[in-house]
Amino acid sequence: MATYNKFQDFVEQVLSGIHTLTAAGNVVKAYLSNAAPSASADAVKADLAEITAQNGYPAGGDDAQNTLSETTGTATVATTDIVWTSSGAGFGPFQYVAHYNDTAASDNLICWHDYGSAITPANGETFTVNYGASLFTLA
Amino acid sequence: MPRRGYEGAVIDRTPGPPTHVLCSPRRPVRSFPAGFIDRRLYERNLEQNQLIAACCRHPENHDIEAWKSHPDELTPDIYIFHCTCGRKHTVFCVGARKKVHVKQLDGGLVRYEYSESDSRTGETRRDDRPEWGVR
Repeated sequence: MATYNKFQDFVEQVLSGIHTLTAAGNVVKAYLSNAAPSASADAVKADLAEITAQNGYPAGGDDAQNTLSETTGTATVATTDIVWTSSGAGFGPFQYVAHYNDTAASDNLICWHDYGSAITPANGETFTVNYGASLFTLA
Repeated sequence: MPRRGYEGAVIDRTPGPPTHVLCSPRRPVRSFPAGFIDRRLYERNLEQNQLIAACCRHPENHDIEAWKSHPDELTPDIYIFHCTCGRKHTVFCVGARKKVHVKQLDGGLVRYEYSESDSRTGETRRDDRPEWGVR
């Protein structure tokens, strides 16, 4: 599983009551970027540029359908796989998958993953973000 | 334009250099033992995806290759399905992962299975989503 990278401001936002990541609460979305994220400087979605919405990639990315559970003191935010299907001339290039709280007024950032190289899915190709047991845990 | 960080430093937004590492070279999906490749790598994005070509919805006819996004990754986290029509379908595995893993050899390939111990009960739970690569 690709390494989880935390936007540092997220931990303060959690304790400030910005995030309610239950299924009935806030909507977590994943979006694509070709700009290198900064863990220390990026706090809201406007800080990290999104790729152009086109050819199968919608503006703002897609809903990760987050749920929240807790077991023996560890909270787990789980999500559902996201599939982007390219059409026409495709979308991208992009190298990073970032997650943010779409319900929060400022679209606060949560985390990102580095794909490791720039990719541009061509017409009829797909790019899938496959989540494991969870997006992240908090203990 | 690069923006300025909290300390006034200019942030370089240039994407990092490619870091992919090939773990398992391209080979037919059919060459793997039945059930070896996790269904979640192709079920929803290929078999059930009505937006792609009919041939792309049959991963059993595809080739597959596995990569690590970065050399430090323990296991492959990128799987690319190559359809007979030439299109590629990429799966990028993200999210939290258990720290302990065991390996099980199968036909010369390594099947990674993760487990974690519950520190309170001592019970060991197995992740039901194995990954594969080469030894």
